[in-house]
Amino acid sequence: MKRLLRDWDRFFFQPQSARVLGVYRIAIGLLTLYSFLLFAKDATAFFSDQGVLRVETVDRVYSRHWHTLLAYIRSPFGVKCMLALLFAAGVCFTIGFQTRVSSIALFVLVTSFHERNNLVLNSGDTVIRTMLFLFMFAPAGAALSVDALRRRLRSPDPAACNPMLVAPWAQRMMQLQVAIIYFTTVYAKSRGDLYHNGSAMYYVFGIVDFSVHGIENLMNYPVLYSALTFATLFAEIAISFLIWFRATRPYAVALGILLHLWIMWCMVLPVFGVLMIATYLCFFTEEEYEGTMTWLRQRFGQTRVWRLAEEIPGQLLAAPWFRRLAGRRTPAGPA
Amino acid sequence: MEASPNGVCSRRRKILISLFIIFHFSCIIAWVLPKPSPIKTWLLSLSLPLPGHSRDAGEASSQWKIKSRPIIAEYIHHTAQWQDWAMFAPNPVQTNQYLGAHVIYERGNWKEYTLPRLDQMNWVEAWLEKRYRKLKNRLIDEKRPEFFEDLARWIARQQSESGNRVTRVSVFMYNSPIPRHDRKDLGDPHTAAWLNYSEILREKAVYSPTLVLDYFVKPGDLE
Repeated sequence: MKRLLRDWDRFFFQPQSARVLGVYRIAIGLLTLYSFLLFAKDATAFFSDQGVLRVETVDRVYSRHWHTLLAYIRSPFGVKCMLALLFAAGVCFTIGFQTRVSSIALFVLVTSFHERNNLVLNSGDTVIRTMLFLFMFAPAGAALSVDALRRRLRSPDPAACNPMLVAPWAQRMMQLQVAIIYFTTVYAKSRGDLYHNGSAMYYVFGIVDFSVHGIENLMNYPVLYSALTFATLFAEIAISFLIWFRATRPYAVALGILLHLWIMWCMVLPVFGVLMIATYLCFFTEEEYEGTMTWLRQRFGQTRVWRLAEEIPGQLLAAPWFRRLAGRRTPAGPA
Repeated sequence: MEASPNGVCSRRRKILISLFIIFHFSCIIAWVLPKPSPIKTWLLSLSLPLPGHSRDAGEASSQWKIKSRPIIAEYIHHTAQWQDWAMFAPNPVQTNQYLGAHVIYERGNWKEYTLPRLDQMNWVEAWLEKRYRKLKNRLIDEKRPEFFEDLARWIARQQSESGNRVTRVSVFMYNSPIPRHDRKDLGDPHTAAWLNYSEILREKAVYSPTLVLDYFVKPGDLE
C-alpha cells in the first residue's frame, strides 16, 4: 500500500519542468483555432436560431442540463461576435497571455458552441473540449508563454530565467484521457461481429461519404481489408499501452501517426487525426523534449525562421510596450 | 493549483487533488463504457440529494430544488465532459444514406434539395463541408421529428425566392445498402472478376427514398 501511495505521489505530483505543458498548450490552442476556422463558414447555419436547430428544440428534446451562452445570443450577428471572442481567447491561450483567464474563457466559449448544437460535432471536438477542461487546472502559462516572459521581466531574481517546475497532475490527467480514448474505442469495436470476422473495413470502404474516390475499390481485396481491420484494432490497443513507456513510446507515436494520417486522408476527418497526433506531445518527458529540440536545432538552427523564433523572447523583453505591459519600468537585464 | 517555483504541493492539496482525479476518471469510465453493461447501469444509477434546476410532471417551468440526482450524469453534463469514442463500433453502418427534400413553392413549382453530399465532392470541398456529413448522420440516427422540423424550416428559408415563397417541404431519407460480395460466391477467389465498386456505390447506386417529414411552412417560419 505504501509503495502504491509513493508511486501515485511520484506520478501525479513529482515536480517537473513546465515546458512540455507549454508546447502542448500551443498545439491544442492552434488546433482549437483551426477547428473553429473550419466552423466559421457555417457558424450561422449551425449555431444561430436562423440555422438548422433552434434553442427551443434543443431544450425540448434533451431533458438534461446544458450550459451555453448561445442560449441567450441567438442572432447570426451575435453568433459571429461570439466566434470572434472565441478566436481572441484562443490566440491569448496559444501565446500564453493571461493563460489561466484565457483557458477558462476558451473552455466556456468552446463548450457554448458545442452544447448549442452537438449534432455537428465529431470526436475531434470532444478531444478539444476534454483537454481544455483539464487545461483550466494546469499551470499552462508557466513556460513558453507571454506570462512567463512577463514574470522574468518583473522578477529581479536571476533564477526566474530557469524553467519553472510544476506539479504535473493535470498533464497526467490529459495523458490518462488519451489512453481512455484508445482503450474504449477498441473495447466498443471488440463487441462487433464484423470486427471478429475481419470484414469491418469492407463496409468502412463502402461508406461513400467517408471515403475518397477510388478507396472503395479496396473492397475487392479480402486479405487487405481483413488485415486492415485487425491492424486497426491492434494499433489502437497497442498505442493505449505502449505510449506510457519511454522505450516503446517512439513506436506508439509512429503507429499513431500512420493510423491517423491514413484515417485523415482516406476518411476526410480533418480535425480528429491531427488532434490525436498532437495529444502524444503531453506524454513527452523533459529529456525527450530537450533531445528533440537539440535535433531540431542541429537540423534547422541556421535557417532564418528558426533564428527569428529564437530572437522573439529577447525582442519582447527589450520592447518598451511589453515592459509597460509587464509593469516594469527599470531597464531589463540580458534576455 | 497555481504553479509554484519549485512545483511542490502541500499534503492537504495533494489529498484534495487525488480525490478529484479518482472521482473524475470514475465518472468518465462509467460514462464511456459501452451499453449494455451492468456495471455502467449500476454506476449511472448512483444518486445523491443535489441542488439544481428541474421540472417535475405538471410544472410549467423548471425550478431550483434539492432532489435525488444521478451523481455521474450531473457531473458529466455540468462540466460538459460527455464523450463517446465508439466510431464505427460495435459495427460500421452497412448502408449509404443522404438527406434531401422536395421543396414546393406558392406558385406551384417545386425543386429537389439535398444536404451537401460529401461523396459528390472533391477532397478539398469534402474537407470544408464535412460537418454536414455529421449533421446528416446524427439526424438519421436520432430520428427526432423536432430536429427534422427545424431542418425543414431552415431549408424553406434557404430556398425561398423573392415573390415566390416556399409553402411545403417534404424531407426524405435516401438509403442504398452496401452490397456484400463474398469472393467465394463469385467463383475462384483468385480469379474472380474485379468489381468496379466506384461505379456500383457511386455512379450506379440506387437509393430508395423514405419520407421522414411532410412540413407545411407557417407564416413565421421564413422570418
